[in-house]
Amino acid sequence: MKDINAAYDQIQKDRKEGKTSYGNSGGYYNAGGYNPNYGTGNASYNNYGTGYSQNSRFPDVRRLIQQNRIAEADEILDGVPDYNRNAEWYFLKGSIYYRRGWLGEAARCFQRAYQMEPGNQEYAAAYQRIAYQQQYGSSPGRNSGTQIYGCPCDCCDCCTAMMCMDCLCGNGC
Amino acid sequence: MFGYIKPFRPELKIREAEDYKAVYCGLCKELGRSYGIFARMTLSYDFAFMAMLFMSLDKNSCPSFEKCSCIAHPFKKQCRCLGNRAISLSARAAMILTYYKLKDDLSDKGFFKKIAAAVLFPFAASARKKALSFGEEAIFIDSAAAEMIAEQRVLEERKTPLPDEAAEPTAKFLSRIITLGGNSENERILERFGYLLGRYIYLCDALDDLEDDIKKENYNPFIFGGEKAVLEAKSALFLTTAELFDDLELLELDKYSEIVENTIDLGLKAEIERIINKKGGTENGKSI
Repeated sequence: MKDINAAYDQIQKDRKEGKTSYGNSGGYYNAGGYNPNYGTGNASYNNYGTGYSQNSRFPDVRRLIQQNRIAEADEILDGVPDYNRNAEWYFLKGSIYYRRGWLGEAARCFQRAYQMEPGNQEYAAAYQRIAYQQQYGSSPGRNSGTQIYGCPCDCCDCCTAMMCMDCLCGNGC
Repeated sequence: MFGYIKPFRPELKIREAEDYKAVYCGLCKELGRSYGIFARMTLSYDFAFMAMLFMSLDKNSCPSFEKCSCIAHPFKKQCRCLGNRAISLSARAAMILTYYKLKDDLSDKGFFKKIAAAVLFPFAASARKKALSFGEEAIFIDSAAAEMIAEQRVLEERKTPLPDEAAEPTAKFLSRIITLGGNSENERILERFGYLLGRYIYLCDALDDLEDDIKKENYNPFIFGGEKAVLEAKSALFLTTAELFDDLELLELDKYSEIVENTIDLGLKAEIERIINKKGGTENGKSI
């Protein structure tokens, strides 16, 4: 707990002083970053917003998200004034919502990030994945192979109803 | 809870369907045996699923079965799962939740609902008391439920326009309950699984009640979507089912894994479709 507090204080201090980059972060380009893991669809929520983008304006937030320190990351993002909220801000905010399970807000933020910077692969991948889920109810690349064909009425109920009617009518029917 | 979590039967194998039914019957019997006939009426698919999931997560459990007769099926003996930890835990959760739901109904809903709640409340209160006497886990469930109802009330009075926020109390409640079936290794996966499952239940219920709530001017998180409310609800629910299945894939399930997967992968979506079709379909038809 002491370590966490110390790290947090350091980050807050750095931010105050206007330091936004962490020496080597460029070297970690995309290390463990968002990986459009379409093949398996596994645990993608561990990946949103954890990559180190070379030109990240919020490397500290990314690091906190990676360490699963969501509340702290959120606090920093909320402290950014409106005029400084760029596409990355929305992407990271979306990643935080996503981890908290606020999927609707996450979708909204990813969409916003994508619209602000359509060329960014990271944002596009996140947005496309979540848009696919909204439409199909499962993740891309994972086809259960089963269609739920619609006979939404309970067929058995029809049969039971018919049988009951038969009973009422007796043999004459 | 409301019975929105059930398997998609056409895709179940016959043995799976029988296993499921046996667990369902087992839960019903346990409710009747421990809490009386009133309790059996609260039997729901959701808690049957919970029992099934708990058994599936517990490698050491070995459910046993017996043939028994049942008042609901007078002509045929039913196969039922004998009581075990998973079943009694689900029964306790069901009783505690019923108590809090009725207590909540007593304080606000319409006249007839209030009367029904008042009639049933004493039964629920004694059932809860009995459930609490079974130990720590029940007390844990009880405090989680109390917290959920209180938080829900605050959010509904504030009329939050965000479905995500409105679903949070139920989601957090289930997140805590579901971890009772896990261990330190799968705790974080289960927490998310429970969270999403609770979110699914809440949003399904909101979608189901949408027209009713509009008519009676009750709070409903989808009301703010206007004409697009149903479509919006469908996206929110589909997002949830997609994430649920992704999360489920990380869990190591033992027996009944097919039934659990069937429920999460197909059953939930089928249920969403059923609710929407009941309303006369969405703009883009009955596709899924």
